[in-house]
Amino acid sequence: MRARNRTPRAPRLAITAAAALAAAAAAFALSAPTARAEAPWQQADEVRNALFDAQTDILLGSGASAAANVRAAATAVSGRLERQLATSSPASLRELREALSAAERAAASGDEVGLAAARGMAIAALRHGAFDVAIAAAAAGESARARGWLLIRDFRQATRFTRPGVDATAALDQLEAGEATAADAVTGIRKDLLDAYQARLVTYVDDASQAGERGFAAAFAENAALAAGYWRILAPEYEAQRDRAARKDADVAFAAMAATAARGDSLRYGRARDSALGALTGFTAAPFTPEEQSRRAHQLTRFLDLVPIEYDHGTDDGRVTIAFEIQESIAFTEGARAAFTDLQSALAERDPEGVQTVLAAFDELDRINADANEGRAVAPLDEVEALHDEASGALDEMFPQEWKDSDTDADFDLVDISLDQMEAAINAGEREQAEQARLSAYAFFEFGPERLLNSLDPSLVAEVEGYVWYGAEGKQGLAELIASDGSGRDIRHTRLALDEALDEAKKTTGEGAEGFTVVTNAALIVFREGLEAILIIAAITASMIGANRRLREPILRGALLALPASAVLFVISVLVLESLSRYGEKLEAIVGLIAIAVLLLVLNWFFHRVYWTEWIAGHRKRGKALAGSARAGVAAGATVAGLYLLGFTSVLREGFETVLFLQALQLEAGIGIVLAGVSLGLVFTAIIGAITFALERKLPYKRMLIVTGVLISLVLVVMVGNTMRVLQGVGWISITPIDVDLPLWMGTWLGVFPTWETIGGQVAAFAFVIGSYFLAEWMRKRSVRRAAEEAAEGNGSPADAIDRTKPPRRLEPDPERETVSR
Amino acid sequence: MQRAPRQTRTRLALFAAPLSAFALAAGGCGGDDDSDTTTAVAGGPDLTAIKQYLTDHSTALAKQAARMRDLGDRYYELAEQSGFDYAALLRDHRAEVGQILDQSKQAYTVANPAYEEMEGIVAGVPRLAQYDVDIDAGADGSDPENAVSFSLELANGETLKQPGNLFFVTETALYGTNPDFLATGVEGDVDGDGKVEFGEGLPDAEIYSAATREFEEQARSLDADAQAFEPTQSDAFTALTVMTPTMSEYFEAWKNSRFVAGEKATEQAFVAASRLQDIADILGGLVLTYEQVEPEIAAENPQQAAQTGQELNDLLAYVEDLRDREAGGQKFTAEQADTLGAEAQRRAEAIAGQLTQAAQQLDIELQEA
Repeated sequence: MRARNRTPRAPRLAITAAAALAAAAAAFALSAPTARAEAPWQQADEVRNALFDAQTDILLGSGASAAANVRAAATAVSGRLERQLATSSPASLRELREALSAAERAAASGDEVGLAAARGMAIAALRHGAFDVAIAAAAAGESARARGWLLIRDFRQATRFTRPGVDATAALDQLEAGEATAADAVTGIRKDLLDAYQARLVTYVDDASQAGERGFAAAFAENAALAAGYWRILAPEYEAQRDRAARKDADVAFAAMAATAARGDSLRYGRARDSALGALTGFTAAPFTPEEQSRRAHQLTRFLDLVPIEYDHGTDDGRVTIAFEIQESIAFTEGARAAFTDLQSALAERDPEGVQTVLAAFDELDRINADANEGRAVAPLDEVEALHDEASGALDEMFPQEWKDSDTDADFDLVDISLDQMEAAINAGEREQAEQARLSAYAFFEFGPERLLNSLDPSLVAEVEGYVWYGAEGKQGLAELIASDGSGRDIRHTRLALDEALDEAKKTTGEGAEGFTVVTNAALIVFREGLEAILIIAAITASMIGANRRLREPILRGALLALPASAVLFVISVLVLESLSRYGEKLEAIVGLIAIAVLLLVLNWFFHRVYWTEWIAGHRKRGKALAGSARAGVAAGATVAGLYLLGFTSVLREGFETVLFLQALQLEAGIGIVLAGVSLGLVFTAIIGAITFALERKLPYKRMLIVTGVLISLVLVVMVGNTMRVLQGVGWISITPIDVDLPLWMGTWLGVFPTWETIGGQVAAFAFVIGSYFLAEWMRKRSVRRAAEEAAEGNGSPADAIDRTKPPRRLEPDPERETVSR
Repeated sequence: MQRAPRQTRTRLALFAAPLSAFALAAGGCGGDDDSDTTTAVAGGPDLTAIKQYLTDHSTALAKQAARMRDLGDRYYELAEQSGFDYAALLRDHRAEVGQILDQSKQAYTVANPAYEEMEGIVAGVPRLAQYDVDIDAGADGSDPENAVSFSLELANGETLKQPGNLFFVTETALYGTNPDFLATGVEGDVDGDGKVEFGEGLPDAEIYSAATREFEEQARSLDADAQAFEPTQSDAFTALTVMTPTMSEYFEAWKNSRFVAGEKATEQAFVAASRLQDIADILGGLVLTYEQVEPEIAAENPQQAAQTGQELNDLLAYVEDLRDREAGGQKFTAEQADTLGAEAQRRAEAIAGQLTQAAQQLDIELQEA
């Protein structure tokens, strides 16, 4: 059966007439007797289609026109197709002719299987020839001719995760644009086509095996012939990577595979197939670029490292506690093995024993995972960790240094895998598993590319986080959707938007940053976090005036001490980055909680300042009374230590954030350039600090108190919102969405996220602030009242009481401030 | 770019015809020069035809889904009146039940091609693709990775978790091929001739009415999204590259359906119409989509555009030919279906590969499916 050309559906008569006219004119021109004038791809199509028509004629019809169709196919091998094959690929032209002769014999005898095998050979020969001509044309710098022959190529089968390669097309585009040399173009074409033909070879072997099992003789023969023909395209590269003897063995195996399939001999076919596929083990025809090798190596390392972590999460004391974590462990083991397979050839050249060590470890991990997953046995974590360490150590020995350097692409792969698992869990109706997968995806992002991205494009970080959590750009967030039983479709929509944002993030982090940008970004990070620290310290110290001014000293010392502590933290994070990453979000949550506790302390102290003052004064009095006593020393020491801690933790929290961001920049650009940025940021921070503290001294006291009180309250509310979100991120508190759309900036700047837990925490914090204020007021009034009562009873003057409770400005005016405020 | 008015386009076509014939003839005047003649196309292609095609079909689908829902409600009311005693239902309302089910089948046979013809676009554009899972392609809960996203809330308070796509549920209930969706305790002899023939089915009213309600909701939602859809070049290329190479699974369904396997069919669905019709419908939509982007490809790489256009039309013609043969009474064996499907898949994958190259040359992003 011959496929008809189909006319367009719309009744466009004029267009149709025009097309007919064009076709007629073209047909006239093409019918010139000198030579066939079609482009090679048209001739190749004709060969393929005519042979299929012959097959179909035998398959569905009488077979009467099969021979004529084969002759049409043979006639198509002429003109440009024939000439250029003869020049650049004489072997494939010979194979093509042999295949057509075989087809002619099969058609004449009505041999459906023989015809199918011949067609498989013919198609493979055409593609082999097209491969050779395209390479020859590209090598000669003839991009248009190479492009024309690429139209005869085959493509890798498209799947959810892989698309047909475009390297050959891209290489020719670059050649035409003068952006690549002919040699580069040849490399690009070879890489793309060899990858496609190797992938196809394997699928044709699978197809042949399946057809053989089902007893579909024609398909069995045709697929095996195609696989054997594609092998001939790969064989020279195989010989180059292995040796002549190995190639010869593989040649024999593939030839036997095709021959046995053509005879329908499944038993011998099975042996030949196993031998052929065995020869391909560890062989990758398409040369990986150094970047691709590096990327696969990073994937391998990341995936392998996650295996014991997931296994640990999923098991406890010899039993499986969370099945989903075991499935993740399986997924990461498979991912690691796939990445390793791609690198195996290169690694085997460096260390064949190391390769065997890694393979053996993978086999054991597979067994342990499978046992746990199927409920047979649960191996202890130590065993999994030992296997991990074994494989990891071998890889570390084998990997060149550039494969060990930082790369964020592998983190994006992990995010993708986790999001796929999330969607699969949603489709399975497993919301809890979906939420775990979402949190995994977020953790991979936050402690992977987010650090660098935050330094390069913070708004993109906010967008990604919005999609992962509570929504962005008019779309609901994944956390919100999962928690509120959102539909798979809505989750899909958000996932797609998230994928786009992640692609953008990948590009941004992939492009990296210029030296100047790194300096600027490092300076901005230090400046931004420095400002926050200044604000908090200024707010705390604002009310320490007059007699209490001396209390500023321990706070400022504590704050200054936090600077070298942050530097130490930075050094530690460089040294133990991977270990920190493992616990990163939990560390952040803990530091956030400490910071909140400190702020609450500050606020409490702020509103109850008078009582604190009284308490300190009490210590002083007691100190006088018990001069030299150990008790007074301890009390005063505790006070000073508390103030040290206050200053220290306030600044260290900002230092911790700064370290995380700078760490990413350091990996990107190196320590020197980051330190330059840090220095610049510190200079600006110091200037602003000096101005702030100078203004603090000059501003009217009462106004300063109000401003700083409001600012501290705001900082507390923001910090509570952010910390609650981090606690949700590590799964320590639940997520109950509120159905409102909040703009992204409210999350970024105010820590306001639409969940009951985050907003509830903020409301509670705010209530604490207000409550604290009213409590302080009530206590102050009560104290005044008592003082008045005591005075009325003749125990002293009211002024004595007020002296201890009123703000000092009223009774102990600060000469400096009063001067300014006047 | 605004699309040229039809009259202008016709004139352009008349003018272009001799030019293209000349170009072809010149190209064929011997020699081994494979250089292309590049034709400039100003701006991007006009994709309004894709949207029009989509909305025409989504509106038609929504209309039929609403009709099916009305009929489903009427069927439910009758069953409720009979206290869900289906023997009593047939005894007291046989004629009315028969009429409702016949009309439901009619609505189904209109709704199905209305969807299939636009499936290439719906399933191929990621932001619409979930509709395809729920309406036409999704599995039941036993295949979690490919399962539909909805569950049916029955009027009696029960939930039927992830029952499979809506065409599957409604078709197999109406045609009696899936016992899970049929009334129990009674033979589904709707016409009362004493035997249950193929295609005769008495649906479980709870399930069927819930399915038609869900169907109406999904179809209406799809229609609304289609009306708001503004197709981009990326959408068109993504749809073409994602949906063209899906031939093997359709042929597999055809092979396992009653049309090829007869009484031994393992496939419960695809009884109302042959899967070959669906394949032709899907390819029809993809050909229309390709026609809208072809000028853009031709401007960059005329040979590529010509090859893809020809091979896509060849593929459609190939499937239509098989469909017509089958409609004409030709029977196919499983092996023949396998061979024919493998050929269709190879051609389709080649087309998808070519479109991927074109997208690369035009710097058009292919979206993640």
